[in-house]
Amino acid sequence: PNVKLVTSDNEEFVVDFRIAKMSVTVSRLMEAMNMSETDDASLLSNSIPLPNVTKAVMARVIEWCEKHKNDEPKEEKENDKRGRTTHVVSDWDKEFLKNDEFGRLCQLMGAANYLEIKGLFNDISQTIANMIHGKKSDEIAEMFNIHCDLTEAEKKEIRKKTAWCED
Amino acid sequence: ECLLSHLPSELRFKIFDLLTESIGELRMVSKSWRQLVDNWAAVPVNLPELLQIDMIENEGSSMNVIIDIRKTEKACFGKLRSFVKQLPRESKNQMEESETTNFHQIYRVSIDLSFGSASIDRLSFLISTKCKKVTIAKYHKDKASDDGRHYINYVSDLMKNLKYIDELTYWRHDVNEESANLLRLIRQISIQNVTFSVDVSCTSFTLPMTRDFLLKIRENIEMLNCTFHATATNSNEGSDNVDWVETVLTMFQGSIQSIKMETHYVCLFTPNDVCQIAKALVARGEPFHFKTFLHEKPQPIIVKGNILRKKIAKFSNQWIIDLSSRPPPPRAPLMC
Repeated sequence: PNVKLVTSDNEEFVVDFRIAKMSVTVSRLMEAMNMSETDDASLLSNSIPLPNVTKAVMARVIEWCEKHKNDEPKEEKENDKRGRTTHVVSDWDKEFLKNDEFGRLCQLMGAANYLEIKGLFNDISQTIANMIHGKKSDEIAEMFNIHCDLTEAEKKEIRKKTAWCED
Repeated sequence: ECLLSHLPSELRFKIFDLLTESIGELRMVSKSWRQLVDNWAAVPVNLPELLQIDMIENEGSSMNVIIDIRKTEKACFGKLRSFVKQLPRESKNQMEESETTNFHQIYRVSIDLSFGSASIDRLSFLISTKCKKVTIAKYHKDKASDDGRHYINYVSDLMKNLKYIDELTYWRHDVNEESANLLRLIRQISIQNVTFSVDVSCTSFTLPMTRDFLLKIRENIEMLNCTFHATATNSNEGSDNVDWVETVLTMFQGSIQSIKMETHYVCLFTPNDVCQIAKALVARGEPFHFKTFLHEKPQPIIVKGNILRKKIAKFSNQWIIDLSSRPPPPRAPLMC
């Protein structure tokens, strides 16, 4: 069975029921609209509005979901409950995200968050963190095309404060 | 100025959560990035896990608090640094960098805080909600301070924002009416392992009170390590008033999967008691680990099937008994 998803720019995507269910948000909406896998009429007569996702972003989300639709659900580990754990991004996911510039990654991250697709959300946040990790402040500024408005004196003061146990 | 600042704070915070070792560099990218990072670090739940908090009651009306932070994450704790800097010189014992045995380079803050001072409350909002190891130690007899409150009340004030602790050690305390404060504290935190040390030689009521305390503490911890100290000769007084077999079996009905009762100084179990405990726990079919000391030679524990793991070792004139289900609970500290 298929489910119709409608984006903010009125584009309709018809996706497999399993893919639709990968989003907690879509699952909840289907439940609220009494749409079930065994009731074709309910699926044909309804569509799920997704006002926070554009056509271009939705296409990327569906591409990711297609690849991961048969994944085993991951068990929540103790560290996950603490809200901090390094997520391992698979080779396929690295390849999938490698050409997205930072702006596109942010849009995709916002969509994964709104749609509540945890695996995609973790992939993107870890990818962004990996882009920044280990870089010096001027390298980060260059990467994000940011003009550093801190004076040398201010930087010196921040460095001094960061090395707080040495003073 | 940057897309990062246009992200909803929850998404930006998620990225910073994964970059706790880069926070110092992120603060120097620009003024707006410094503000974004400082907003993130102002929320205790965002701060990275502390390695250790040690609290030791000083004689008088203050406590020494030692906080260990991973060196690589020190930039996340700028507000803690400002707080320490503002303390009077005599309150700051040391701030030093040192190596620890578990390969983390740490920064250690050691400060003295007076009971009743506003600094305890302020500090509670500057530490993370997560800590690997917390020790609450005292060397002196329990005595209320001038405002009628006890050491454990001030410890509770300091720990009120902690949500997760791997290991809590409660060292050399009396079990008395003040222990209710510790129980309240333990109930509001997710704790894996509690190490509890109690001097049972004080009065004939100590052991029954300890039993009651243990039955209450069992509710939301995974592992318990209880050492019974005795500094006086009447250490066995009161032990006949407690059915320790029933106590242990009841404790295993909570979330506890591993109990170690160090009974060098107090004889709590007979060989037959240990046999009864083993058979009853095996019959329940749940994972368990139980370790204690016997003051007499143990008797054989015969259980059908290969479902009980037994390790017995002679230690001086006592026997260490280490029993567990097969398979044992995942994190149980089994004797090799």
